[in-house]
Amino acid sequence: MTMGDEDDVLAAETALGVLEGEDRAAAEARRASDPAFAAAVEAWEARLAPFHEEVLPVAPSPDLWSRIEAALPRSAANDSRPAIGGWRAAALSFGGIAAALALVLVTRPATPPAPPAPPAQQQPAPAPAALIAQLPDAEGASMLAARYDQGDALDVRATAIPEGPGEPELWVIPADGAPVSLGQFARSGASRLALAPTTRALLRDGATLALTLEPAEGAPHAAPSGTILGTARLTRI
Amino acid sequence: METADLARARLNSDIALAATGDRAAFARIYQSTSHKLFGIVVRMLHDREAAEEVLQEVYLKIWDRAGSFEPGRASPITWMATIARNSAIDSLRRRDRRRDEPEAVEGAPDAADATDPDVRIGLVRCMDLLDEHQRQFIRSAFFEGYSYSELAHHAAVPLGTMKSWIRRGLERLRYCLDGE
Repeated sequence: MTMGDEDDVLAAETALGVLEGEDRAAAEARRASDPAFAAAVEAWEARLAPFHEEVLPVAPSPDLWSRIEAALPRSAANDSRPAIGGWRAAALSFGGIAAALALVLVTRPATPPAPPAPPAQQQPAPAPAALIAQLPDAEGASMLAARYDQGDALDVRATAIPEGPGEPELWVIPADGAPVSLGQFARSGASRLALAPTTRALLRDGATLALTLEPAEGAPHAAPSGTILGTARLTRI
Repeated sequence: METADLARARLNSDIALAATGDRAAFARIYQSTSHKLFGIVVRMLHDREAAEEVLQEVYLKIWDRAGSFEPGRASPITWMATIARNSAIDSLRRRDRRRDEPEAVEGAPDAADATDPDVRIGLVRCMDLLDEHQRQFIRSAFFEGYSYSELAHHAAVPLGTMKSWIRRGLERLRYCLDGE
């Protein structure tokens, strides 16, 4: 069966998720029964996937993992795994372990990963109390800690800023807005970033901080040009 | 900091291990991806508690489906992000939220769990070719999970108009992306 334009539009709508009610049920049923249509939906999911990179990471509650772990089937290895069994599982497991070991040998970080970051708080009211944030890298290890005591400066302590061209620059991302630079700081040790009054107003409970590496020239910059290396929400303590 | 390639290879091997029932591998998958997937889900649900319930479903699906993941077909983070997004939409379609106001969805760059940068640039560039409302409502649908009728309601246009805006936008998007 070949996909006509009409069918491909339906595949796109299914991947985008805009359908509802009976249309949605019919599209999902077709996806389950028509491999060509399923492939077309998957192709659309892949076309749209780069959007996911725009989504800022947010830490779930620290206890969520234990809830998930508790919900996993009891005896995992042999019984309830429909897809793979017998010698194939053994072979895959062996190969997988070898691959994982090889990777660990290559990439093992010097320190064990930090525990998951504390959950972001979402109380809206800004109260005159200290705000803190700890920014983890992609592996969960802490890169820097920030503390704001409601004064005219933000205290930053760099713990492990990733290698790379440029200097670390900290940003605050307001709820619905573009990142605003808080300034650059030293790659190691403590720094104090002076804040303009308009910037201070953005440092509230729940605001997101983000770290990039930027050229030293022209700092603080109007917008980040580097990849965001990590984000964290300011939390009132 | 490890490179995106190594992170991806590690994730691939942990998924293969999780498929054999290896819980430690699954815990590593959770640790390296849960903030990202939660970011996707909480942005669509606007409710931390509901988003955590969905995230729990998402990881149980990842556990169940690990054996069917094919590294050659999709990047592991794309595979997981798609499961997360589809689960969030399933949850949204079970309730009515036409009263919520859609937020303006601005782009924000993100961390190193990258798709191929060229692919990403392709989507950004092709989105730029769309009309303003096509771009805006496709983004709202993607990031906020709005349905056709929710989008039509918020834009105060007939359902048919919204459908044709988005369909034409998607057709132009495919033409642009596949023509590269």
